[in-house]
Amino acid sequence: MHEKPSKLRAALIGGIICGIITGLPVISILNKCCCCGGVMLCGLTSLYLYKKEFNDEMPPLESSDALVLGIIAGLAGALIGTVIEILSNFILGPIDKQIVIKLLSWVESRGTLPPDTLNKVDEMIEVLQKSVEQGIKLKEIFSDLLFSLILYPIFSMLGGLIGYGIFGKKKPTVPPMPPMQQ
Amino acid sequence: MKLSIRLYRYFTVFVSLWCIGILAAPLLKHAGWTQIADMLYSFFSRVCHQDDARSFHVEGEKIGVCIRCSAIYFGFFLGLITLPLSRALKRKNVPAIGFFLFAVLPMVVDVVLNAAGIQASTTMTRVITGALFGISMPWFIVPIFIEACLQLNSRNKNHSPDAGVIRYARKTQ
Repeated sequence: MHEKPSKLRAALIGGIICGIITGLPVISILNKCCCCGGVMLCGLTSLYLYKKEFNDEMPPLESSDALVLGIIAGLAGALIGTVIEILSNFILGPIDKQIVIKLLSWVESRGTLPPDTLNKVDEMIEVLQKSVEQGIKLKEIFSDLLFSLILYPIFSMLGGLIGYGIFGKKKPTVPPMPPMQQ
Repeated sequence: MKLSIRLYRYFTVFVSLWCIGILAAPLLKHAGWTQIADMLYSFFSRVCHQDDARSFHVEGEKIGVCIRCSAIYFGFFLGLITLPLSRALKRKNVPAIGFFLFAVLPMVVDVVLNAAGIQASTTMTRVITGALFGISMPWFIVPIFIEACLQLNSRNKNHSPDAGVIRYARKTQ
């Protein structure tokens, strides 16, 4: 029997997708709106890609493979995502914060918010504008990287485990019936 | 104690801490521990948009994650602690894919309808669909997680350099 295929390729592809989803300005907001569903999807995708590399001569895919693959994809995603985030900040500036400021200002200008909420929206705009003016800090980058290195492997692992539950288990093959003796 | 039970307990402790963290952020901020609270908010900001208008509030401050996320996490915790009441932890089988779709589809429909501007999601729809997903997921995830950890554990035992020596020593005794 052959050995199992290497996890590196599938995990790296999952990590790159995860990095793009979490690192690019507007897409990262969508990922957060889906309660980190994007990162879970990466774990699931990398498991799907890994499963495609198996053939009949190899031992079957196991749940431990899904767990390890999800963690590696999440770690790679955290690193790649941080790099993309830094690069996009350098090239585009804090575009995501500016979008949020514009959205909040638009909501405020409609005049339908109660005074309590209006005050909070004002506070949020102020905080965001301050952070835009201050630019990106090294401390922020490190804390974001640290939190990503903790969180993304967990969510990606959960995605990998869900993926294993969906398409990981191989149906037991029924051995061919022996020919009937007459 | 059996390893599967120990793993289940670690998992439950982790999820409990996660849920406590969500609630601790506003409480700490209210109590004046702003630095720790800000750190918790920053931690959860990696996984949630934390929109004030779409979050529950404790002591006037928004909790660590939005309504949908909190419904998912607290639902997950609820599902996790009720899991051993309904099935043995050593059982390896997971529910069918239909079960997963039943859990996830209402939430997806709610999100899509809201994003398309057809039907705005409300607090109630976010709580119900999120909780449905959260409560169902332990049935799907925990058996696979325990199985995976047991596999890794047995693999480590077989691969450790002393494993053969110990087995040999036991045989000779």
